[in-house]
Amino acid sequence: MKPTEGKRPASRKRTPWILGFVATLFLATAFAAFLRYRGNRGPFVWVENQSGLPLTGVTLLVKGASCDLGAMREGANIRVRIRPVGDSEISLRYRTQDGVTHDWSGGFIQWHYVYRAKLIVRPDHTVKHDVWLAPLFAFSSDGIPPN
Amino acid sequence: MDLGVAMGREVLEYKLDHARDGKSSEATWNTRRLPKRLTPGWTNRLFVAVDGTWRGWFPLSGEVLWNPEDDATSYALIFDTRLWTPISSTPALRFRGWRYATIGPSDQ
Repeated sequence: MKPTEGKRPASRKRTPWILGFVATLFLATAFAAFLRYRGNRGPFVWVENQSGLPLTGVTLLVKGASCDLGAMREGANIRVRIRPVGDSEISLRYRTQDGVTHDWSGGFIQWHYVYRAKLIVRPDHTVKHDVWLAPLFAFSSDGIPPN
Repeated sequence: MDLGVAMGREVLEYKLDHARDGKSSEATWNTRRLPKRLTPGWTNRLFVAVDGTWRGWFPLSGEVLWNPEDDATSYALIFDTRLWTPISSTPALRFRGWRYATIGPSDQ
């Protein structure tokens, strides 16, 4: 048997490894570009009503400011993009048909690292709170340009 | 959902230039009031009136930008400047801020 028999040439051996490396690099770059794109647009808060009841007076509160989202029927969702405001508390307030006001506070959020915050009002009037982080890129802190 | 705003001629030109420079297709329109009837995604339209006449529309995002630190104009409508669609000129009443628009292709 010849010494080289049964062996693949060295260049052929390396091809899959190089392809894998390039593909990984490409995907990582694409993902980073996506985060960058989202980041420049600002993080958003997603509020969804899964309480089983219509809600009124839904208000999102961040850093002492309130965003009046109005009434939300069962299953409705609203997305609001937020200009990053550093570290701030996020709260949700709403009323049910019986006139009872419900308050929920989700603690502090570091907005510069958040890509999405999702608040889901559940039937027992607890709020499911999820935060997606985009740690690689800080969000643009530019102000809203004038009209 | 269709919304309408009144812009100066120069402002509309500026917004259209925004798309031509290739930096960003999105532009904003500041407002004090939050529109609550927008539908999700780019399914809304922002009609623009210039000098008392409806001139066209931009696709309008269902998301609204909120700046909690701005007391004067906390909200901003987000629209896509690349897809400006001119319409045949239709008279528009004078108004401030934005309003739900009743103009559309079916009304022309």
